[in-house]
Amino acid sequence: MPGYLIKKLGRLLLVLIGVSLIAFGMTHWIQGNPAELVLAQTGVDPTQEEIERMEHQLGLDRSLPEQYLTWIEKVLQGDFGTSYITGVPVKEELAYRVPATLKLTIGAFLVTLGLAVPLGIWSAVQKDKLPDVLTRGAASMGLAVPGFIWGLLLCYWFSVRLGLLPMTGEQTFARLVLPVLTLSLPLTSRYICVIRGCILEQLEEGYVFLLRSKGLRERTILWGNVLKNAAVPVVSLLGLSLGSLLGGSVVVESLFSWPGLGSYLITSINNRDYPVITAYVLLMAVAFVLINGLADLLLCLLDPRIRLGGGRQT
Amino acid sequence: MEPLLVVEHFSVQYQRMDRPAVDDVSLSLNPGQVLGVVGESGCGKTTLIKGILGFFPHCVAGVAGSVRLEGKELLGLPDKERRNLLGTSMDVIAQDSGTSLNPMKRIGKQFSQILGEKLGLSYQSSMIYARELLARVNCPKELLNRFPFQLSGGQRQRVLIALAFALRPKLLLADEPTSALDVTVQGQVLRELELLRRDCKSAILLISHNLGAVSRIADQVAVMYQGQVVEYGETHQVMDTPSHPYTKGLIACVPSLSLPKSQRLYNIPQGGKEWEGGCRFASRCPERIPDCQRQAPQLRPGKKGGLVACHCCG
Ligand SMILES: Nc1ncnc2c1ncn2[C@@H]1O[C@H](COP(=O)(O)OP(=O)(O)O)[C@@H](O)[C@H]1O
Ligand SMILES: [Mg+2]
Repeated sequence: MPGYLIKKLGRLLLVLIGVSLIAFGMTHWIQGNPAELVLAQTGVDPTQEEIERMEHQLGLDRSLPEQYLTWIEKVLQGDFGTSYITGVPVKEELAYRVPATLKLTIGAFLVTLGLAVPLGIWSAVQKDKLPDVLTRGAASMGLAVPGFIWGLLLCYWFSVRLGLLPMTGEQTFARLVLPVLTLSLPLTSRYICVIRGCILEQLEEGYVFLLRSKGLRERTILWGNVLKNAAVPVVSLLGLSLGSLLGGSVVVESLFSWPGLGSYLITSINNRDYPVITAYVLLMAVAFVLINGLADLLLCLLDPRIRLGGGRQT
Repeated sequence: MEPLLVVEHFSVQYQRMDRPAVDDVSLSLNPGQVLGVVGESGCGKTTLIKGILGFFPHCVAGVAGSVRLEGKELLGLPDKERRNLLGTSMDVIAQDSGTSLNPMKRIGKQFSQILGEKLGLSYQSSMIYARELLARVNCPKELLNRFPFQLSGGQRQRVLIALAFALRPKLLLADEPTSALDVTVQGQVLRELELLRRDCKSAILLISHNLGAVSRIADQVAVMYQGQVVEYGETHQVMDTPSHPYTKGLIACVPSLSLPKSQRLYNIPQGGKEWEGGCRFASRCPERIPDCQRQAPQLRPGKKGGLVACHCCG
């Protein structure tokens, strides 16, 4: 078990370093000369002299590795620089926006699990019967229509027509409902299909035949065997899907003017506010690594073949 | 004596197959006896076993005939009643026994789950019983703490036999229990099946294409060809003085160690054309007469005792 986890964690660490290099490169090559930008911001005439003074002040005249190290040291302390537009430290803005996005994505994740797990199991157990057909039909709809369209439809019905849920204002629970639903709908649909498929696949396995031939109840077979085995592929997919959840939050936050990281990113991209974009990229990379590390840990606990290094040949 | 198992005119038809996979098969098996069923792969042996158990996948289009266990009709039996019979009255060792154990559960847990539900044993007493069962099939009790992938093929097969021992079934259907094992282990596994028969007075329907294995422990033998029984009789008589040309061919095919190396192995010729009626074996039969392709031979008493379905050797 430790061997497997260490290998996985090592790989994730490499991902982090790679992303940090890209982010560093972005601050250095894409955004133009930061010294000029800062000068322009402070209203000083960008003469050659002034630029060189500023470059020295910002450490831009040192070697690249040196610059990377000072930069990463700051980043590790949570210092992502100051926004070019507002002049506010990015850190302060993040402290406000990260919790908002977390609320949204964790909420959507929980809703996805809460809906997809029971519906997927039910659908598999009732294969080809009415509940299965209905659930699968609904899931196909959820998949076929893009998330933001669901968002618009939900807005229209629940806020505009029925006036049940607010679209603006405080970050209350009621305010959270529509964006969370919008964000989780496509993922829920996908996971219903995934979970159903994984269970049906397990039901074809030899050990299910053995348990049936011993006359065990279907209940024991499902709850005592099949679900745990079917969870393995689902968990490994979940790690990847959380990424798409974070990506989807960008659209949903803009749609519902939810003050999270996603809408912050959109305005920053429009304004070429590079420190913010860099911070976003780094945060997403960290989130990705954490989530996948967690998923791997969970897989390790779940599946003895991974934990004990056994093959899949059984 | 009333036979334990009576199979009469039993047919199973899969969808999109031009002939039934099991075609008008009649067999009977007395308590404590061993009936060997031999025949090349694809002749319907596994389908026969699943049919006796009442496991018909969705691709089965039709079932006909009668299967009775202790006088009780099994075809069309409600699931709940069948569950009560499974395991205790009849049990099976499936063909691909390598996958018959849950890959994510310790062997001990798998024992306790089955013993708990079928015999109502507590975890502690099921472990005591399981250790005893494993000892009977010459397996160390440490296996209880292992996962299936940590066992050898022979050990897995013995665990399955121990699981079959556990419920003392009156009838054990063993589908090629030795095919996946190397020769030395094959012998041991057969000995353990013998033991089961002696200890539990179980009758065994032993399916195999290993004629050696069958002639060693079977009391009667049925030879199947393309879904039909073509010869059926006492083991010594079918093996020593076979009547049907297919049986003769099967026996001649067994490589013998005492044979000189220069002698070529016997080969049953492959049939050229599709079956169009008459005897199924006719196109491959060395003793064919014109009648064979016109009319299907019925299974009837042969000259040497037993039953044979052949026009020219009956
Ligand atoms: N699930 C299935 N669907 C359709 N045809 C099948 C299925 N299972 C087996 N068959 C066909 O039925 C015949 C008998 O198969 P089987 O009973 O597995 O033979 P055996 O066990 O003797 O090798 C074969 O021709 C096979 O192709
Ligand atoms: Mg078979």
